[in-house]
Amino acid sequence: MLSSRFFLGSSGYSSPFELTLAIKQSGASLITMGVKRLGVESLNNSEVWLKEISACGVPILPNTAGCRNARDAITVAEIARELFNTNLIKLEVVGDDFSLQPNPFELVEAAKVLAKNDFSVLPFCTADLVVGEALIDAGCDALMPWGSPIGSGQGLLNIESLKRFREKFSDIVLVIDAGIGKPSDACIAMELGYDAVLLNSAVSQAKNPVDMAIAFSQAISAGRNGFRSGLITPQSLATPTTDISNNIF
Amino acid sequence: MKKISVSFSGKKIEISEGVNLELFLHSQGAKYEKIATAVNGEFVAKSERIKLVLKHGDKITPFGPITGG
Repeated sequence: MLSSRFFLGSSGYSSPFELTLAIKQSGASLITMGVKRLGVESLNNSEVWLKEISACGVPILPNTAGCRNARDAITVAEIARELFNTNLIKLEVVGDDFSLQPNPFELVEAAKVLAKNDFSVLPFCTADLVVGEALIDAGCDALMPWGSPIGSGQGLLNIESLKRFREKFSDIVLVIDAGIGKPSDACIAMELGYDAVLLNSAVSQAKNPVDMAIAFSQAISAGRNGFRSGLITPQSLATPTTDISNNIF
Repeated sequence: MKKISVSFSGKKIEISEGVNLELFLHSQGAKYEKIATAVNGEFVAKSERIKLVLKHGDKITPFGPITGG
């Protein structure tokens, strides 16, 4: 059971101190981290950030960032499981260097293998209904469609497709991952009925990351509460809110 | 003892034949409990390192945690 609907990335902070403060103030329930190949000279000094993040007591969600095929993603997931001691994996397989759009074919292939090997797979995908179905069939525990390209801060570029995605996968945990730029983007994602939001750059690259983390936390809560409370259906015509059935004059 | 050559994170290293991965990491000064490893692109779990005897031409890649989104 996660403590909040806010998943926070750990990249791009000016210091471990700033990151840990942002984590604490955000109330994030998962912190994403990655895996890197170590140089011979840096074998024993890659743990600084992990130590600081682990001290926050928030579970880590490792990713397979940088992978371009299923084979590499599977290997990196296995490495991540050992490094971070978790079966959770944010499955990323990039298919296009220009947009960092996921490769759906490799994604599904990797998801099948990882799910069979007892990973809890959270794939970073687009809001493609067919791919979503294939990922669920492959054994994924959740789907994480992008709002827009990674790090772009463009927000939710295609709200209609995200709505359809939510409607089709009504029983599946859905997380908007990537592209979020403003707290209002996160709020809208939650109003659409998404279960959580994962973001990184919008907080780490803000002038004041700690305050921004708080702003996102509030926006995510507001959006979720709005969704749960039952949003009214927009209509094209006005409806008087004051009873004017009898003219005043 | 016969020498073989392996690659460690891209660096060519000569070692004695018969050395296993755990011993090799130790010899390189790696805190081997803190890193993960792959040999020739295949993950090798910590528990398997002692069983894996390195061969000539093996490519050993150490991995560690990094911040990420």
